[in-house]
Order: sequence, then C-alpha cells, then structure tokens
Amino acid sequence: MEKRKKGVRGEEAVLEHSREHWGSKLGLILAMAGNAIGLGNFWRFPYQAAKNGGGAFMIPYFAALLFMGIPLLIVEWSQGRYGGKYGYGTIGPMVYLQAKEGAKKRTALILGSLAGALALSIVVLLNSYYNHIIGWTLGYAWLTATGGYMDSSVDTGSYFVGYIQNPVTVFVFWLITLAILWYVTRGGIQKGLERLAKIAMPSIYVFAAILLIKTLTLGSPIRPEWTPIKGLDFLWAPRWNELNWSSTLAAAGQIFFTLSLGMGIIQNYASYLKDDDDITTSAVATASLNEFAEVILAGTIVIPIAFTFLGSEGLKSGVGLSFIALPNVFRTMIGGSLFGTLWFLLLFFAGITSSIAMFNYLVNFLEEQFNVDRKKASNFIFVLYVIAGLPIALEPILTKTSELLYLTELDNWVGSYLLVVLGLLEIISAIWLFKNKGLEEMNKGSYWKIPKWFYSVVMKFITPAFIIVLLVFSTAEYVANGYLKLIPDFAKAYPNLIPWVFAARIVLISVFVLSFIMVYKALTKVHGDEAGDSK
Amino acid sequence: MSSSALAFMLVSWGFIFFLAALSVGTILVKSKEKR
Repeated sequence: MEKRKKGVRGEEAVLEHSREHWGSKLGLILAMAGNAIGLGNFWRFPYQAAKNGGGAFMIPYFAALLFMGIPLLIVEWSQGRYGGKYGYGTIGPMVYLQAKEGAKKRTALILGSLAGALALSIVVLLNSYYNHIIGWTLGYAWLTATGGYMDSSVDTGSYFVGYIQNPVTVFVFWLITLAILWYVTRGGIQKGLERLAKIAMPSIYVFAAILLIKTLTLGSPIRPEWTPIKGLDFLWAPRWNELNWSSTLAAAGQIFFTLSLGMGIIQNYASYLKDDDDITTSAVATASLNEFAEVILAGTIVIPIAFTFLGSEGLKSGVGLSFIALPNVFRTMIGGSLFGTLWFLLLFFAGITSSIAMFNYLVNFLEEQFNVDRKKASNFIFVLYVIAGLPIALEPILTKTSELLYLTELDNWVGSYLLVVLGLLEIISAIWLFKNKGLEEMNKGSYWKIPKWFYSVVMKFITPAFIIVLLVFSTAEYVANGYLKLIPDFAKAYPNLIPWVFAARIVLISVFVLSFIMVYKALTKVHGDEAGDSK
Repeated sequence: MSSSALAFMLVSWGFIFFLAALSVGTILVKSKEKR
C-alpha cells in the first residue's frame, strides 16, 4: 500500500519505491497500445473516413494526429509519470500538483477537483456501456461460431434487436466480460494488466492479418463491380468536395477518441513508470501501433469486405456495420463462421484491453483515496459496474425497444464532449501552469528530446487551439442537434423512452457531483494547508 | 483502383510505417544501450 507523507512547508516527499512498475518495455508499450486500440479503431474510423472525403479525410486526420493527438498524448504520459512519482495514479492530484506551480493553490485545488471528477465520471459511465458492447462482441463471437444467425432467412437487424432484448444473452456475456476484467485487475500491473496485453495485443494483430488476407482474396462473389479493390478505392479516393469544417472536426474528434485522450487512463498507466523511463518515444510508438491497427488493418478489412458483399449502400449503416451488416456478409462467404468468429474476437480483445484501463483507474482511485487493497477494490469496482450497467441492459429488455436512449445520452457526454473538456484542463495544468518545468519533465529520461520551439509553439498554442476549436464547434453542433434541450431532438420520436434520457442525466450529474466532492475532500485532506496558505 | 486513391493509401501507410519503425527502432536500440 502506498503511503504519502508531507515534508516541511506542506511539500510532498517523493515516493521512490512503494508503487508497482511495469515489468518490461514490451509489456508497457503493448498495454498502452491496448489502452488506445479499442472498438472505435475498427468500427468508427473506416466509417468516418469513407463518409468524410475518403483520402482527403486523411489530411486533417494526420494534421490532428501530429499537432493535437501526439502532443497531448505526450502531455498525458508526462503528467502520469509525474503523479506516479508522488504516489498518485489518478488525475485529480496530478493536475493539482502541476497547476499549483503557476496558479494560486485554491485555483489549483478547483482545477484538480474538476479534472478528477470529470475523469471519474468518464471511467464510471463510459465503461458502464462500453462493457456491454464488449459483451455483445463476445456473444456474437459465440453465436457466429455456433451458427446463431447463419440461416439466411434471419434478418440480421431483427436478430440484433432480439439479442439486446434477451436477458439471457445480454447478462451472460456482459457478466463474463466483467468477471474477466475483475480477475485480471486483481492480478495487479505486471501479473494482470501486462499479462493480458501480451496475450490480447498479438491476438488482435494476428486475427486482423488473417482477416486482411481473406478480404483481399475475396474476388467478386456477388457482383462483378463489387470487389475488395473497389472497396479500397471507395475508402481512399480523395473526394475534395466532402472536405469541409465538419469533416475536419470529425477527423480531430476521431484522433481524440482513438488515442483514448482526455480520460485519465493514459496518465494512470503512465503512473506506473519509473521516474527516468522514456516518455516521448514510447508515446509515439504506441500512437503508431494504434494508427497501424486503425488505418492499415481496420481500413483494409472493414470497408472492402462490406463493399464486396453489400456495395456502397452497405456502408451507410455506420456503427451498425459490425452487428448488422457484417453478420450478413459472414453467412454468405465461404468459411464465414470462422472469419466472423475471428472478427468478433478481435473486437472483444480490442475492447477489453481499453476497458481494463478504466477498471484499473477506479481500483487505483480506491487504493489511493481509501487505502483499500487491490483485491478488495477490484471486488468493489465489479459491483459498481454491475449497478452502473444495469440501466443499459434493462432499457431494451423492459421497453422492448432498440433505440438505447439511455446509452445514447450518456455517450453524447462521457463518450465525446467531456473528453475534450478534460483534454483542455490537462493542457492548462501541464503546459500553461506548469510552465517550462513541463518541458523538463517530458524530456527527463526520454530518448527523443522535445525541442524548446516545439514546446513553446506547438504544445503551448497550436495543440490547445486545436482543442478549443474542437470544443467550440462541438458545442455548436450539440446546440444545433438539440442535445441541450430538456427533451433532446433524438428522443422526441420516442416519448415512452424520455424517462430513460432523464435517468441518464440524473445519473451523470449525480456521479459528477459526488466525484467532485470526493476528489475535493481527498485533495484538501492532503493539501489543504497549502491551499490555505495562499489565501 | 484509381491512381489518386492508391497514392493516398500508400502515403498514409508509409507515414505510419515510418513513425512506427523510427520509434520502435529507437526504443530497441536505446534499451540495449541502457542494459
């Protein structure tokens, strides 16, 4: 158990040995890449790229990667390692420690509490539905292997609706997912998280490589003009007329979500680094592995496979591609049962290596704030996720609908908007308030040193500008889409489901307020004297 | 596949391979040196 002690004048003594560390460089990179590579890499990117200009989409996409994604990722690694040095693995105290260098202690306390509350709300609520989606992938892997929807008379859309309305399938695979998360997290960093990453990450790449080869050798089984190469052409041909503000924002948003930025979970993993471990090169390596999975593997599998069997019309189903359109494909293709199972297992591994990071964040929170040991904390978080995930399971089962409005409302906030807000708070504390110490901290032990000009120009101004623009335009989009109305536009057509939207809002606000109080109290308990000094 | 689509795909893939090779290569070399 970590113990934090205060030195003279309220400064904290650096903890040198009590925190667990990653066992190997390979384990760290795979775990971090697993953290970043999630379901979004495989079902969101291909759809976003195809919808927003094809090859032309890659210009804002790479610009956002270089000027926002990678700099913020390095900031998060650095912030995490800095916090870990003081025995912290959660973002509240990390933001506080850096912000107090350039702001009044009271302001730092508020910033830290805000960041900590946002991160807690995100990891509790985002994972409450993310675990269900991972459960669906596991369920579909089982059903694909055992022939569940392989009869061509079955409508795959109705089949999916039947799946989410069936308490047996929903609860069994969801609870298996939670049990795996619980078991792995109990094992700790080296014997739990790192071991999982060493199994799951190579599996993802091997499964994807098999699917990629299968995809490119499909030929044209349905229509002569529907081939995998035509699918690649559809994905990569630049359509300049589709490149506009909206597609640029979609690219920046995709970079934010694909790298798991603005959630606190990168910082949590980085808190298990040693004080002189490399940051910059490792962060770029994990970003590259993430991009390899997203752009090269997912791009070459998803769109070409769907195009070959369904044509360009089949690509319009968006995120429904995985559970509705692709099952249609798997039952048509030779060996579809095997390849379909591989596809859903790939999604399962991609999801669970990200979900475990959120699970561990909460376990770490209990460890450091309430002095609970890891095993007890894992038990508690398992129960917490069962409770938090119940409304997601119950909405379609009780109402016999498939709109998932509770999930949609939560996702609009903790799955996108609040991540950008937290990303901005991170930059404010780690770059603007921590000042040039931020550069020293990033370069300490790093193989690649960040030049001062890059820090002063890109990290200080261009990256926050990217985030602010993303935030402003996202806000405008939320207003235009009616998300801020008492009854949001997307819910108007389903009056019987409006209580589920309200329930989501009540849960979101309650979790945020409760988290803020907990983080604030924890911070004032350790740092209250310092904050008082600065009055 | 049109030449413009092929060009965009190859440049994107090349950029990612370059970043991955450079960063992973550096880590491997430096880790050996450290040992």
